[in-house]
Amino acid sequence: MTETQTQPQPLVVEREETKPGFVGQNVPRKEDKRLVQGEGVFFDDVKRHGMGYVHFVRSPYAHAKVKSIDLTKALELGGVYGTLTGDEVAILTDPFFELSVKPGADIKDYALAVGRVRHVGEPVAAVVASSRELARDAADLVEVEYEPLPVLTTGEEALRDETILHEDAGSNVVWSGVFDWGDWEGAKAEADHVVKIERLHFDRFSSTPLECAGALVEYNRGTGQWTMHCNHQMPGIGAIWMAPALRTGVDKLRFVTQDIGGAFGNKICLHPQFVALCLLARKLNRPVQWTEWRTDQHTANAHGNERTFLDVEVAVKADGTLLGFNCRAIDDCGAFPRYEPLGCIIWAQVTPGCYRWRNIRVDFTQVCTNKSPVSPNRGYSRMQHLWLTERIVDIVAHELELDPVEIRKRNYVRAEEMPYETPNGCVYDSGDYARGLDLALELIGYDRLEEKRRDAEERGKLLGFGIGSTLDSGTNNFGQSTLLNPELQFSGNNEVATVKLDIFGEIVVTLGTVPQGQGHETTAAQVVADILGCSPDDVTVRPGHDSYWNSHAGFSGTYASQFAVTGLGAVKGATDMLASQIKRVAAGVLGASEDDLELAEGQARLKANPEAAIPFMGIGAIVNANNAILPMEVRDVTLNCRYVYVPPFELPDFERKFGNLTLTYASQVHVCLIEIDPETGVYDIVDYAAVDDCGKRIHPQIVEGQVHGATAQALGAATHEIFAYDDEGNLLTPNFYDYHVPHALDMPPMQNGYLESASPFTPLGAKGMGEGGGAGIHAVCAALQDALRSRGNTTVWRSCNPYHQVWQYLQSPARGVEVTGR
Amino acid sequence: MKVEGTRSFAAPRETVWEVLNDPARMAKTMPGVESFDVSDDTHWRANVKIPLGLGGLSMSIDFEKTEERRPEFARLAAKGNGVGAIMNMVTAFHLTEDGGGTEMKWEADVKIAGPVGSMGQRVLQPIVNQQVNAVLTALEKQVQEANTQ
Amino acid sequence: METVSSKRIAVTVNGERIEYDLEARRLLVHFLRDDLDLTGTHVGCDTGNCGACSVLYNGRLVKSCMLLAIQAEGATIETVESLSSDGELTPLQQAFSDHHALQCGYCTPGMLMSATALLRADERPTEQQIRKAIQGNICRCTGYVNIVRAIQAASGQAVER
Repeated sequence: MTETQTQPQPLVVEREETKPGFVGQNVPRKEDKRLVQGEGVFFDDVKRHGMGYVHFVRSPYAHAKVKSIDLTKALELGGVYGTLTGDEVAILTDPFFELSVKPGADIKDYALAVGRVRHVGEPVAAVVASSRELARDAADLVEVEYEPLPVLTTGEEALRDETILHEDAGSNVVWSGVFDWGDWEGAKAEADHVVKIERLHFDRFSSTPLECAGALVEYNRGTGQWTMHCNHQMPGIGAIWMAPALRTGVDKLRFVTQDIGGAFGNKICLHPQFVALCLLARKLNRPVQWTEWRTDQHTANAHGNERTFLDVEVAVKADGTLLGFNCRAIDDCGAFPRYEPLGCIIWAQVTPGCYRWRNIRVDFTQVCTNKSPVSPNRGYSRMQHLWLTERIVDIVAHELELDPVEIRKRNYVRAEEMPYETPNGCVYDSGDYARGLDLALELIGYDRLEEKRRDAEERGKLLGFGIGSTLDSGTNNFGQSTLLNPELQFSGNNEVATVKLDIFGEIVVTLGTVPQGQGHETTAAQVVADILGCSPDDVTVRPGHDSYWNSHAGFSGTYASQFAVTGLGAVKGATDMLASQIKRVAAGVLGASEDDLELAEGQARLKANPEAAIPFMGIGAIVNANNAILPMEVRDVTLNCRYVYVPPFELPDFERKFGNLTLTYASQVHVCLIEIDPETGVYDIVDYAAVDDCGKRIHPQIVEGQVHGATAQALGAATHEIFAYDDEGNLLTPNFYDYHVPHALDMPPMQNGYLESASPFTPLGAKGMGEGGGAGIHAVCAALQDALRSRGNTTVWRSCNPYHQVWQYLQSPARGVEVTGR
Repeated sequence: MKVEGTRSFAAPRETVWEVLNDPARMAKTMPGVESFDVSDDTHWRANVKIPLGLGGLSMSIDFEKTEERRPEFARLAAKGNGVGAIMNMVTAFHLTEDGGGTEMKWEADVKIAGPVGSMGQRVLQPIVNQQVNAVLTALEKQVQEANTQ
Repeated sequence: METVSSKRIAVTVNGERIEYDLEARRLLVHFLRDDLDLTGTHVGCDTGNCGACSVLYNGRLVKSCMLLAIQAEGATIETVESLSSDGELTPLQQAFSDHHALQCGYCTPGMLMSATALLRADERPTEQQIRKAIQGNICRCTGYVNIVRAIQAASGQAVER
């Protein structure tokens, strides 16, 4: 018989003073019981009698005209219910709403390819059949004739506009603009050194959630209502895209999710496939079900942004003070922008990274290529930029022979400067990056670095040490979209929650968010329990999301590290309302004033005399079934409270591209030790430490889980995970056989540390966290560069460095760095 | 994938040209040809089985001679369809007289699309090379036969 | 060789003997999920790499997406649904919850079956053995740290921190 362990406490190093309560404790997760029994409900678990299985016919070409589609043989196959092609889609729907200005605004994006295909795997037609296997058979019988066109596989190639992917736009450029804050030319003149870095490249990868995308869609002919059992992680935006395309109202699109097997931003741009499913459900008058294949997810769902930084110049003083930088950025968003060009501004939430430089200029262009479209993958756009700032700091230190720890401490934004306004008007709420770095160094035994280096040398290995500091900006102001397109009517942010007290005293919460493992049911219950004075076990949080709960708003979803602020902010607001209503009822019944009352142990009672108490069940019963006994002035109480949390944002300034774009900034400092075998280029991460500061931690174990997961994903992206294409636009890593994600034996030993710099701007002092800002990537790149110093002093210029790339560095070191100065 | 090479034949240029431009003879040179069908002088189709995986990859390939300058140059376009693979190929050969024999310079640009294409050059190049070698060897035989007739 | 397009099989699943007519090409995982409504076993890839579909076949850990359903003829299959009864979590399942070894829960059934196979063969595995036992199970949420801790705890060993 094994012993049952009590909740283990994570390694806590620094925390703000905690008030007693459930917030801040590791309460058992509500989600676990059903999930460990295999009783979770993921969309593919939902069935409907007579449902048809959908299989998409997908383009084998990266770029081609669609000359003809012949469905005859497919339709002759027994068990096939029907089909859908681009021609029908073009008649029945309008193109999806584009966020960009011209030329990107003129791109026509539909649920299926219309006349042309622009990436391998793009859906061209759909077939529906009575079984999964038959649907696949039928798809194989669809005959499509293509006329191949020239293929664009790099952003730089696309920029030349020799082959145009979207004729309606007339250019491959989706958006371009120059961001110029401070005085770059002045900084360059004042600098003692200007370090020039020719090229840095952030590689294409994604978080590849284990559960693929999909939906079961039903259409009610009588009411025109679509119901989608799916895993769309941002239904608010999904509906905004889908409803106008389908020429219907937003309320006619009901999203129902319960459990989702990871999303990480890959389940935000599912609207094209979902519109195809909606059309099929309506056309065939039966529910239709589609489960994405792993190969399709890798080829044709969503990648993270791929970004090239060219001609980077950094202005530095002799003492290592960084004055600013200037660069050109080319962002490759794949075949269709969709959520883009938001990536062209989102990085500006962290323009200076962790540093105090004030003079920053970025010439930013985004282009389409014949690769999979991108979506806001974990760390969206900030990760790419933070990698740039960390590489800059690291390369500058390397070139000028400055200590990587000292240069960071000299240039980090300081704790006492918080809240800190960045050169473009964002406000870093709180944080102590230098302390985080010290803690990370301690955890990895930095003082014994030289000893470790000598030990590695004796074993014939090259040891490298690297630091990766990064930020996790959370709760974004959608007004930043107006900096790209002033005609967009988006700004602010919101999230909704309802809390009610039922007739038998049950407390029931609905959320507007769409959890995929972040423990929303649990953390929401903690917040409610502390306000109402009951236990989280007494609080039922409905799992998942359902449009019919009317508990959502335009920006509802789970993305961008914001739940702890927006979701829990809404929960707190709704619960405060409920608490007030409970007290009003109790006050009315007990003949007391609200100030005399407290909520504790599931009751409303007199502070002075706890015996005079009404249990919640009593309160619920009175309001729901016995309200004639209530004084008249209390009869407006409903005990069913809905709250919309709206963060305090304003519209940013379009001319200066200036304004507060995000509410909170969690920070991370990671450090790693790497050993390279110089004979082969093979390397191991031999030690690793991660320090995280996300303000008040609602549930420390959940925070730690997110840190572990984000680190694993970053290490995968740093070492082996890459979406590589050949010259024809074929994806060479279309499944887990070729796309190598970390497995259990790949993880390095890891130490974790935590700081809690509470946010002054949020209801609970908590900050959103979870994306992780790619710290592992920055740390590994830095460590590789450090290790290879003695073997050719290569510059590590790309984010993903598989063994053969390290071999390349050893054989022919890439320099691409020049230092000029007095 | 681009492949190219040179091959010498101990036969007059006219003979080599005749063999190369005879669909029936060419069909005999191609490995794994299970059947072929000549539509006219410049169009023919071959059904082939390429050794790839268990049982081989069956493909029907349509050939079209797009350019010709007898007896020294011809260019062909080929388009193949099989399960999981679509092949587009352009190939050309130049014949020059070399003493009593012929020197053939040839080149081919092979593009593979579809799931097979994602296996990448490392996997596909050796297969393409093997197919090319088999064609050249068989072509050699055909030319010799033609020469002795 | 005779071509089989469908077959009637008899198989024991989670202790229950079942007879079923199946298309020969039906994968075991789809038989379990779609025909028997045992949706705890999950599909995460199409190349047999992710392990979300792991079940026990005559006591052996297998990937049910890599087997045809008709190959289960005469076999005893155990899925995640067989681990607990009447909602009472086993020590292994409880350890997963205690140690936050699951976030989205999608890889969890596969992890539990791999852990079950491991602990049946070795009551006190080392950390390295645990990692090797779940090497065929991909998780994108947890970084495996807490999963290893949970399995250590379930085997009555001290948790490495």
